[in-house]
Amino acid sequence: MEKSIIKIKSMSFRYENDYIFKDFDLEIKPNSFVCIIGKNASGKSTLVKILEGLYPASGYINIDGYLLNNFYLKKIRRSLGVCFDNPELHFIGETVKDDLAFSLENLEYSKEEIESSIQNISKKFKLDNILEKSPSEITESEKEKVAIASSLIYNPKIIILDEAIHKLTPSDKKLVFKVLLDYKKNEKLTIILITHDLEDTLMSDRIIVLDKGKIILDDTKEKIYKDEKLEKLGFTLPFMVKLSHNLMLYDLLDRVYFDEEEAIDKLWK
Amino acid sequence: MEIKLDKLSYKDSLKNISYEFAEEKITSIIGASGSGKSLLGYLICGIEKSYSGNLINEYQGREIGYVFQNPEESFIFDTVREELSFGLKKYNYKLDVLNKRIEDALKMVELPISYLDKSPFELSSGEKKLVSIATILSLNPSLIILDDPTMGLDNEREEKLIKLLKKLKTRYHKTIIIMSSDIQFVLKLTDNYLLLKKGKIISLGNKKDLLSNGDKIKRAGIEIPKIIDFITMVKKKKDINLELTFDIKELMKDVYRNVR
Amino acid sequence: MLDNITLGRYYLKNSVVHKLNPVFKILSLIIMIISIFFIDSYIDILMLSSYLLLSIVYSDIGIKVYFKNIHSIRIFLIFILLIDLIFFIDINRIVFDLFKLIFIILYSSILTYTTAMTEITYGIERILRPLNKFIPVNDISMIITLTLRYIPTLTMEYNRIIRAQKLRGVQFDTKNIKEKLSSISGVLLPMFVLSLKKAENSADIMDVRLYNYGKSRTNYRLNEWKFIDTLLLILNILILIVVIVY
Repeated sequence: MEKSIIKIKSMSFRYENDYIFKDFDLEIKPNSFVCIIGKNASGKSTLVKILEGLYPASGYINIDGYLLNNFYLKKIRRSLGVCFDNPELHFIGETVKDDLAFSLENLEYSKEEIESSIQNISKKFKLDNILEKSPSEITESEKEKVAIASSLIYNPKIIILDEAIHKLTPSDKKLVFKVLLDYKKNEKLTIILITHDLEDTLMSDRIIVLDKGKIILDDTKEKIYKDEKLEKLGFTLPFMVKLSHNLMLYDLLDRVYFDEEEAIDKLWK
Repeated sequence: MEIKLDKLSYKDSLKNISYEFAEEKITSIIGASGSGKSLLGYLICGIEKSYSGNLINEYQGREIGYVFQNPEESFIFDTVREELSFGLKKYNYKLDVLNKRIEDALKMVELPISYLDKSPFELSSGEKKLVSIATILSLNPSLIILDDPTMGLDNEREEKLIKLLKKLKTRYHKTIIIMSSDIQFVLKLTDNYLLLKKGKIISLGNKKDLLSNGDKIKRAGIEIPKIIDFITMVKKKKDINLELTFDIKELMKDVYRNVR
Repeated sequence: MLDNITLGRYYLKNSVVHKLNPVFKILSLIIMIISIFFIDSYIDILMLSSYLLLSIVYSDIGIKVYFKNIHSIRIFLIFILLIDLIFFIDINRIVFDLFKLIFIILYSSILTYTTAMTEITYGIERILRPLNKFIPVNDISMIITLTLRYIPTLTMEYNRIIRAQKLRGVQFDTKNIKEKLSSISGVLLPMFVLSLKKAENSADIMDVRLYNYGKSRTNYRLNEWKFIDTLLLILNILILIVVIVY
């Protein structure tokens, strides 16, 4: 069995007098694409902040082979790339180019390495025409793209997107997913996507449902969307899932189809 | 009360916007990020000035309630209670009346009364949104402008917000303007719409018109609801005309009819 | 109110002056500032004017822009003129004083027009580098960078917040002193808190993005120190000597 890249055992975290997490367990395999969904205040963002060492939690937390403590914190952060939901706060440099360079400067990359990394990531994310622009001159969607690009530029093993794709335009979103999945395909990236829009879960390998600090569902999308259990929990199912369920009732489809074209071809041979 | 825009322009971001907003109705200004929709909202309520062209807004000062896209921009106090009471101080209400008003406002957005003593900065992003909505509700404005109200709200809360806004329109006779790029949300409650692309209006009309302007919506860089996408793809790939609808059950019946 | 803060616009061009090392430009500005204290003859004025003119020409930025600068400080010029006329009635003195102001305004404009903010920050950092043992040079330059990055954003936000609070009923235009004070403190103080919260969040984000990962940071805007920088630095020092002597 492949060793987990994130292993959490019996983790507990209190905020003031409430336990946000109590005896929480979670394991994530490398090069997987995991979606974590949950209602507001289910603990999703808190979990991310705990992994980044911003909130202190008790229990066993191991990331990329390192125990989460003060000694290994920097190494862990080196293996993680995290984007939160406000790309404005993520933006540190005076221009897009400066911002992309920021983490590499912190890692003491040489000037040449920084230049080539920026060129490389800029091409991937189509940022060439905004490299010299300041944050007030670009759109929110572009800011989110830059945030994600700046997290990938130092090649972390794991990227965590905490509601960090909601401002992307449809074409930018397509591009971002393409790049992320490319990295994953080449065995270079574990993707953790935290979202409340279930349409985003359709490209993942595994969906974890969090509720008040507990995992209430954890399975592949095929199994989770096999029936209406997510809907009963108050989530809005992705369109193709709902449609498939309806069509299955009429015997027009044999299973849930996640891809529109596949379903259409199946319906009208 | 008139809200009328005539050849309104703002630097490079808005060009020649002419539109008249209907009273006691919900109008949505739809556009992708960078289209100028937030800016248009700021201009309408006077938060931003220096425009060229004409802008008439007969709603003044406290008759306008503005809900920010980023709730933190409107929070200034340490507790939700103080946030909600701030605007009401001017009226010198007796303490029990004041408390009732802020409790009612909180109830309207369906947040528990216990939240009054919490700090608005510590709430989840969805709750922050709801608190900022409650803040303007407590002032009872006649014109309510919401910038991207569904960002950060889960599906359940979004449904509650839709119910609330509809109630505010029909029962309380408010005029509501919403800036959003969430077509699915807009279609559930809007009466009229304005579609922006790079600062220009590329389409306008009522809800029915919006349904039939799918291609324009796509061109504006906005995500088309999957159901519409599906119907369009069926037409494109198999040349079958399914009826445009947002109801999955309706679509279902239509597919059934067309497959057999 | 806060609308008109511009930080000396940067014009992106490829001129000789643009390509000079920012460390030189800062040192040169310091040397020139020192030199204006010693202006006491027309030889000094002649020399400095020629140097200034050459710098302007080589900066590739239209003379019109520089004139606009002078135009915008005309009040100060008139003020100096009047003070000197009233107290000293010495033509030479008037000329020298006017020249000093015009010169320093124009010369520092050349600096800001031809140097990107990041370059200026880098320049300051390199100059302070030898003092790294006594002061945290990296952190200081980071603070400068963050301030510069956030000023336009915060300015925009503060303006909006002020106007939005006006909608909420905060009275800014009142004559009543007490009301005015309470409205200002009721809004500006919380805005300060908002900035601190932003700063707190920014600090977290910076840690997440690996700030303080190692003992130092590279700066990818590493400008090489070229021969021309040395040449011009020597020229600047010579000018200073001449101005002091004559």
